[in-house]
Amino acid sequence: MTLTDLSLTPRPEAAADPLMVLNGIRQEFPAAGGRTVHALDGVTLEVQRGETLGIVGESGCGKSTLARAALLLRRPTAGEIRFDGKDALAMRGGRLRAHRRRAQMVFQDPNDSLDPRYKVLRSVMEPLLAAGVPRGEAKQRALAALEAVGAPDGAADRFPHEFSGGQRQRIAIARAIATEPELVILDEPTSALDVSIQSQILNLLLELQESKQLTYMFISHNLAVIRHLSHRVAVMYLGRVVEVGPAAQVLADPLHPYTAALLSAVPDPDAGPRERIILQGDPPSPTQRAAGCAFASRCWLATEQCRTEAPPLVHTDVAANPTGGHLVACHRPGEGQEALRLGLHPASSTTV
Amino acid sequence: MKKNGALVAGLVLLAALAVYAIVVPLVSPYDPNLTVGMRLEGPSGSHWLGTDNLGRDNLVRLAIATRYALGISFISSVISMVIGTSIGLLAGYAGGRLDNLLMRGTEIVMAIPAILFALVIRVIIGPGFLPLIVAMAIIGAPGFARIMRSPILVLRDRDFVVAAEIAGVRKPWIALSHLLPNATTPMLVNFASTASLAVLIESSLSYLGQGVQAPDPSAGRMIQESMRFMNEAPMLIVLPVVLITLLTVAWNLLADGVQVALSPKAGNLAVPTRGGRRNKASRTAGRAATGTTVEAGDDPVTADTPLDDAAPARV
Repeated sequence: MTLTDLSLTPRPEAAADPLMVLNGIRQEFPAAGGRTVHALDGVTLEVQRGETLGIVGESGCGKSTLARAALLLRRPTAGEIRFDGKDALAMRGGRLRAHRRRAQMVFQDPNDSLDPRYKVLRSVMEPLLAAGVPRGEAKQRALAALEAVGAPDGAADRFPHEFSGGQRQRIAIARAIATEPELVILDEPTSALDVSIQSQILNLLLELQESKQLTYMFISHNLAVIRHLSHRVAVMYLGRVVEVGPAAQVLADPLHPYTAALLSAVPDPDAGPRERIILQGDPPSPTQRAAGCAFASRCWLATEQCRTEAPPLVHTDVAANPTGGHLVACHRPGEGQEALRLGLHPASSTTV
Repeated sequence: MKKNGALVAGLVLLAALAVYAIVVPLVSPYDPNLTVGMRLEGPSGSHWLGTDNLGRDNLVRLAIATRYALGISFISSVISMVIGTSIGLLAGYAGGRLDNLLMRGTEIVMAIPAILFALVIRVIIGPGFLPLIVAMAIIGAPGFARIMRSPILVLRDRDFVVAAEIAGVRKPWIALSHLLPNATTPMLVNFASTASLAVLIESSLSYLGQGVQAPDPSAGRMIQESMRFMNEAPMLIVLPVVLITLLTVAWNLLADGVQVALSPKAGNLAVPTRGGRRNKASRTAGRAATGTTVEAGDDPVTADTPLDDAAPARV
């Protein structure tokens, strides 16, 4: 089975009440020399019920920090998180623990996400017991979750090291869905797995989404996977969301030059020789907050305005995007992709 | 599991010493503190190891000395382990200011020479069994705290711990159910090393007359009392020296054996390293620099880094 065989359930219509709203999330960490790392620099996102929101961006852009903030592991420096309409950051103590049942996570490396000294059943039961489910019922639900993910027979009484990576990831998914959460954050859930196993796990995630009405936040740097799994895509760069919109639109017709550059780097054996945008330099240090657009230092389209004035994340050119919902933070939206299409080589492109 | 000579030897030696310490005084016809024969007798059928300068039976006296040494080293190390491990868990998991405070505290205790510290406790509490245990429990605790903290720093960021936090498991329970069980190897190894150190401190204090009090026998006091008869009866010095040697060797063999038995290569479940990639490197590095790395101690090491010779080297 190839990735193209996967089919998405139709995305529910953008409802008036999103499952989770992240509003202006900032996460700052103190760094050496009294400087500050701006890991998240005002991230605003909505996660609709039942959708898969893909989050892409290069290493260090804040994807995982965003996941941790969304799961209330680390209190953001500023911003607001609303979960099911309620202020999640105001929750404390028992209410917070009660909330935790509703949002779970699947990690990248299944070797690391299961305690080597816990039998599988104990690992899967853990979130249920933490949510106050009585032991007997927790056991039944954990076994049901293991069955739902297709774990091997008798898996419950064995240790994680007795399983292959793919099976361990199934067990980790069982733990994430055991409490019947509404939101599951998937942090690169397939990138540590063999290619032959990846599509099985992706299929499983799609099946579970349909049967349990799960909402996914799918973090990945693999655009091929994102393309096939996500209803909407958010592109992050240096702690900011630079573009967000329906997956088909963002990936086919990127408005932000960074998205265009990312897409041009995806190998496509059918396309033949084509332009690849090679970005110059490295991302600037997150300890230095750009006054203007975070991408300006590497953008071949950057103007004086880009360097001094941060572009807001807004709808652009509604006439060209009548379906709406496609937002970009760029002073020159669409020009990067347009240049490629017209064969006008950006200063830093090359043909491969 | 393949043969683990050190573990077997250590356990057999400790068991033999324990049986000797418990059984011999029960079955022997002699009271350890009473004159039961001529002074400075050599080994004979009635006194297997001879008698001392007051005509007391050496076999029984050494058995009682073994009781004290084993009992004090075991009990004080257990207390050290409980206190030190708790501090290490708390410091490593809580991090931040509390970590700083606790670690500086352990440094203060470690900066005080062990013997001097024990003497001060002895002065405060008075003579006997109790000050020895209190002193050595406090002396041993910082070692446990520092040795536990390093693996905890690694473990607390591992995904299964984060998963438990996401699930809303209470932090004290995470510490006890996820962190502690994955860091038992350094803890147990350090236990045996600390006990071996405790044997030495107990003998030293008793030698100085500040440990086990007369007329009760202790290896250290027996050495000190026998020095005057060194020429007439060298056996009287050799016997307690052999006893101290056997005790420390037994504890150290146990430490080595536990290290080997619980290392991931033996096929057990102590595999906290991420995918085991850094495992080999850290093991060799640990072996190459045993003693120094651990004593320096602030670098986070992987949870299963070998910690043989981990006991702070100071007496």
